[in-house]
Amino acid sequence: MEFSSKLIAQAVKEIAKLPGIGQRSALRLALHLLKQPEAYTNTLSQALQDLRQKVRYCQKCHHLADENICEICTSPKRDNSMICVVESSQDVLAIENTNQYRGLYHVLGGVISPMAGIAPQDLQIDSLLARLVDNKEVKEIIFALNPTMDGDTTIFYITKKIQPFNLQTSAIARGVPVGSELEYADEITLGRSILTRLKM
Amino acid sequence: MFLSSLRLYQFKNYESFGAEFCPDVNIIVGKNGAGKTNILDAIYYLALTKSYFHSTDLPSIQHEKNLFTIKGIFSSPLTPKGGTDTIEDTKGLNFNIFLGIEKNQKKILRFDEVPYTKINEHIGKIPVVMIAPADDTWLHAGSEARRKFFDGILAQIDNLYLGYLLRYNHFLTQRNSLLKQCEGRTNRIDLTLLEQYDEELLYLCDKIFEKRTAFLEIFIPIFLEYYDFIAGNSTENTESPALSYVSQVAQEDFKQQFKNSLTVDIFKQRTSFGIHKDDFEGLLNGYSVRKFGSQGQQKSFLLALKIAQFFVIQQQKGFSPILLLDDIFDKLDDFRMQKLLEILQNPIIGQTFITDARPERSQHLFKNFIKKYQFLEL
Ligand SMILES: Nc1ncnc2c1ncn2[C@@H]1O[C@H](COP(=O)(O)OP(=O)(O)O)[C@@H](O)[C@H]1O
Ligand SMILES: [Mg+2]
Ligand SMILES: [Zn+2]
Repeated sequence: MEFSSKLIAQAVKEIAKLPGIGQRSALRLALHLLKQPEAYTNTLSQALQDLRQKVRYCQKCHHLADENICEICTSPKRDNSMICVVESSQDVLAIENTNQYRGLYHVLGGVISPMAGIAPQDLQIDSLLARLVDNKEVKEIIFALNPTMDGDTTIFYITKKIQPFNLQTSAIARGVPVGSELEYADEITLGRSILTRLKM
Repeated sequence: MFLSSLRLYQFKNYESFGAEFCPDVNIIVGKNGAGKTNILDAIYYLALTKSYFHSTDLPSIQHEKNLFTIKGIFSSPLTPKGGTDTIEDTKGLNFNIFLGIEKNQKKILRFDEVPYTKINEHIGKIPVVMIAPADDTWLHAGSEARRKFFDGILAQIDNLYLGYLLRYNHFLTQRNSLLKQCEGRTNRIDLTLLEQYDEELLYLCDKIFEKRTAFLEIFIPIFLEYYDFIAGNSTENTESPALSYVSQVAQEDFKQQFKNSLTVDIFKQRTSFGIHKDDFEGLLNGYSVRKFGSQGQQKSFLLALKIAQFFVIQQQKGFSPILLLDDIFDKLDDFRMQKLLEILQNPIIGQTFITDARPERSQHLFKNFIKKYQFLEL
């Protein structure tokens, strides 16, 4: 694409690097930004910089956090006896949006897959075990991983590892359509499946 | 059920292509390189969502392009023939299948405009059998082509089998990757994870073994019948053909052997035991056809396997697969050609596609053919 402006070309190039955005949409966004008051681009760039520089991972649950410990882990309203194990922070957000779950989370950062080069020690599994040693309040682990072969492998793997702690374990009911990602699941379905989680 | 209309876009040599077909025999003629085989491959794609000739999709996208699409309209014949001509999801007489494949994107497959969430659910809805010159891989040293042959049939008649097989292949790849990461050192293996893969694989070995065994019991008698027919065998002149299934799983201490080979597996960085080692052996008078058969015997053997594939799928589905015959007349001598033409006139056989670079030969061969046929010239 020709832009007749190096500055526009530069902006389009950067915006088009975002997932799901092609050259055409990037150009549309760039032109849109030019039409807005300058204050808006200032706030936007500040927000992006803060996002990159200040957001970190919670030291307890590895969810995205503004501080060393996230708001869910520090909240006095949460039920400390339950930990819901998920793949990514996106899954935490999807489940939080259902307003059905009051326990804590643990974000693994993926599922076990040797062919993708992901070994158990590359995931937050050891830190989950450490949490269980430190926190005797935990009575129950709920797995909310995507229903894939590797998701199941990861559930069984962790279940074996936490056996010494004698916890109640369950997996969310598979109300989620097969093949879809948890984050796209209908919020009502997900809310219901969290409530009616199956005994494993 | 037959393919009444086909539309191609940027598929191999076709920028844009459309054709209508008859429910009986369609003979596609044209010079070498005209794109006859490509049409058969497009039909194969609609049925099984992959190429018969390539293991990936990229070679089927037209050079310099990013995607191709194939659309087929399927109809039920006015007078049903053979078994019951039904497909579970058919609404009315017609349905269409759309397949779109784009570089670096997920395949799109739609049944009457409704996308499949799981593409595997489509496999077996439109059964096909392809007979092509490249089929002699069955005779190669490696057992993979022979497993693929039987897996291909089973996948079309038994969706559960396909599920087992995909799971097995997934866990096998995971186990092999885990072995590789040990770099030959036994103390590096994560035993908890290994044990889990082993459990899955051993369970699936049993299931797949049972299904392969049960399948061969149906397949073998049909195969033997057509071998004798094609080879011209009678009761006094018989070659005692046989087909045997060889599997480690059949051994009584299979599970123990699987477990015992862990050290060897870590050293070799792959899994030594399992149904991925299964083989099938064709025999004549007790000797391997691959190793000792004459060329003529091998040709009859391969053709009989394919014909049996057709009839076993027909029998299990209750309706006729689409039969795709690529350059078949180039490969066969007069005797086997006549046998094949006799088989093709069997009313059980439904829609058939035949390619031929020599139109006058096909004209001649089909002169006294009792079914309807139609020529498509490229
Ligand atoms: N991806 C592709 N893009 C463009 N042309 C292709 C592609 N793949 C194959 N072809 C062309 O298709 C032709 C072969 O078609 P084929 O169906 O094998 O012919 P035949 O009529 O001999 O069976 C060749 O000319 C080949 O160059
Ligand atoms: Mg050809
Ligand atoms: Zn936290």
